[in-house]
Amino acid sequence: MICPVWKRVNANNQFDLVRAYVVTCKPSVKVRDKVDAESVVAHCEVSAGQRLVKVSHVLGISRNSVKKYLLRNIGDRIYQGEIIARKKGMLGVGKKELRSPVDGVLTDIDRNGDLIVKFLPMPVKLVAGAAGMVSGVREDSVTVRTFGSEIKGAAGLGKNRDGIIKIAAKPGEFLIPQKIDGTCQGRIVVGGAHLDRAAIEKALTIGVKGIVVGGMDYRDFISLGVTSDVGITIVITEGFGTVPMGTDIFEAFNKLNDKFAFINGLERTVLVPEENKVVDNKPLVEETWRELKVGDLVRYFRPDTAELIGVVESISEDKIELNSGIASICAQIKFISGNKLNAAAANLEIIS
Amino acid sequence: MSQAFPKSLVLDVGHSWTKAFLIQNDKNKLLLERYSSVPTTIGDLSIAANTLLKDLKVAKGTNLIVTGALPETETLAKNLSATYTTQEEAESAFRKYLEKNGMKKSVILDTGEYSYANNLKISHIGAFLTFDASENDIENYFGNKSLKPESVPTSPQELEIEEAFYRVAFSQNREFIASPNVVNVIITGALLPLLPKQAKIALIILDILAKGRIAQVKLDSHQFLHGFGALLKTYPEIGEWENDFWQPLGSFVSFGGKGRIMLDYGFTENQELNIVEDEIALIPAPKEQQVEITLLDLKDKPHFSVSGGAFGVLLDGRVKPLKLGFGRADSRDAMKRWLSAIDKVEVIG
Repeated sequence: MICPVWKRVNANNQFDLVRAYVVTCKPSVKVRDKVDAESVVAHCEVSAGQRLVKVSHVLGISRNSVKKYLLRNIGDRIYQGEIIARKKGMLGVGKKELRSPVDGVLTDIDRNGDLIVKFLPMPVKLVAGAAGMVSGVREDSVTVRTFGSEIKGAAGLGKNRDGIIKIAAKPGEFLIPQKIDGTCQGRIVVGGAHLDRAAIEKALTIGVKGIVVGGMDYRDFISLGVTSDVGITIVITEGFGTVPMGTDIFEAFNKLNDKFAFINGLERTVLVPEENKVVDNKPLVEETWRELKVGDLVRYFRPDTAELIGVVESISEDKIELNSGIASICAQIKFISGNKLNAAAANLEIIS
Repeated sequence: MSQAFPKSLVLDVGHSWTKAFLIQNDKNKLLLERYSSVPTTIGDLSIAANTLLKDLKVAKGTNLIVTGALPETETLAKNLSATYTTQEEAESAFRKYLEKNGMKKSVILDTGEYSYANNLKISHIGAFLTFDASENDIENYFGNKSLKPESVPTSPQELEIEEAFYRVAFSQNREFIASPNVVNVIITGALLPLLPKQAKIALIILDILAKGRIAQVKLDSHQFLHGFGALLKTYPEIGEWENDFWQPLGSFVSFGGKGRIMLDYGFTENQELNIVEDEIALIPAPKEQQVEITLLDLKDKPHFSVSGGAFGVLLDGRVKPLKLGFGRADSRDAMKRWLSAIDKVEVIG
């Protein structure tokens, strides 16, 4: 029987960190360039949209006469604090002026007499985020080959974010709102067997960058929008329901506590880069499926148990009837506790 | 012009499982020499394909036919130098075959076509369970299934959740809803053919069969439907040949309560039966047996000609739609009662 291969904890190895452009960017590096974490890999321009300036309301004039009171023309560049419209009073009384609230370009006057000011694009630099070598430059991203440790979960959502790892709960605990406090701001919070909606809402309010947890309810997961981004990235290490975080993953995070990391929901990974390590530009090969063998370390997912990982002691040649009555090729697994169990081989994942 | 039929290996790449069938011709009878299945190796379909070729000890030069639901299947076929048939083409060829064989407007209930979606109400699924479970438990089960679609239900509870899901999914099948009162149903896909007791399949179909409707059910016991369709597309002549891929389960009649039925086996005397409310009864009839049935209590006394099968003619006297509710003890008791009744039916059958 073939099973998927899952590298749950991949320590001290090379990884490709994809630095995606959120707006139009111009790469400033080329493949094989060496970079530091702070090296600029692309120059971007972020335009934050536009703003309405209520000219007719502030000056007390009719919406049709706004143009008459403007001191600058449509299309002009304006600066914050600059007087852009003025109404002269009678004998110095009733004089009113309007200053620009932002840097921008006068774009239009709408039918309510409001001035539309488009913000000036802000130059933004995209940094490598990790030391290493540029391994790819594409239209939408720069890839940096870096050295470090990667932890891969079972599911995730949210875009790539970064922050310092903070262990907030033990593997079997519930990650409740009380566990998430001000010290979690800007951090990647790790731990727990279950994450509920109230804790997610508190994390969003505080400004937590990401959460890594053993399990959460599928309903809450789906409600956050699997392909959209709600402002926080979540990686579930085991599955849906209440599932204690695997010892292997929790121990790895314990070693990486207080380190800078990237969390990617779509790839369900947490990547912790390390400085001063040599990397190469060879393609990274990842084994995805292979034949199950005796001696393999496997994960057998069942909700409400911490006993998920064991070693294959034997594999049946013929199909064996499971408790459900369905016949399947089975593997006998010995867990760390010494407990043994016959599991359908199709339900196993080989831990690499 | 069609080619002469050589010994062929058909690969059917499904969303969760990839199946392989080694087929040969024995005097115009199609024989399934060997078959095997492994999880579909998403990301690299060739791993599953090569494993199956090795498992079935397929000789070099064997004619290869590939079909499948995933877009990458075409590339796999190209790499294996195989004939490629899309799943739609395979299903279309199979439907033509059904029509030629007197099964017009058949409804294919394929478990592979369904995956849990938010539009399926959990409370509807939960109403069919015999044990106490929360909505979260059921949703989490499907969430975990979506992470590992090839996994098989290991406990009776997990199996019940899946069976309940297919009840709800099949009951919303547009073709099934729009089909005539007497409908031919082909059941295929990953789970139902593997059920330990075929009586459970019978109960799934009976549960969704509305009052006054009759289903003549056949089971694709090897999940060969798309593979057979792909073969038909390349070798249309095999449609004329004998095969035993479709196991007739029999004819299922839903009274929607108590009722009377007249059965005519072609003997000198007809048999009249009374079905009491909530009863599920079996009239033995082998697959070759044609039975004329008349529903005596319905307006105009409708008359149908049906054939037997593993369950002969199954008569369902339960009130339809079933009065079940999620989280209700009486619903759980009713489901237990019906499962027990259908289990006994299988013993008789």
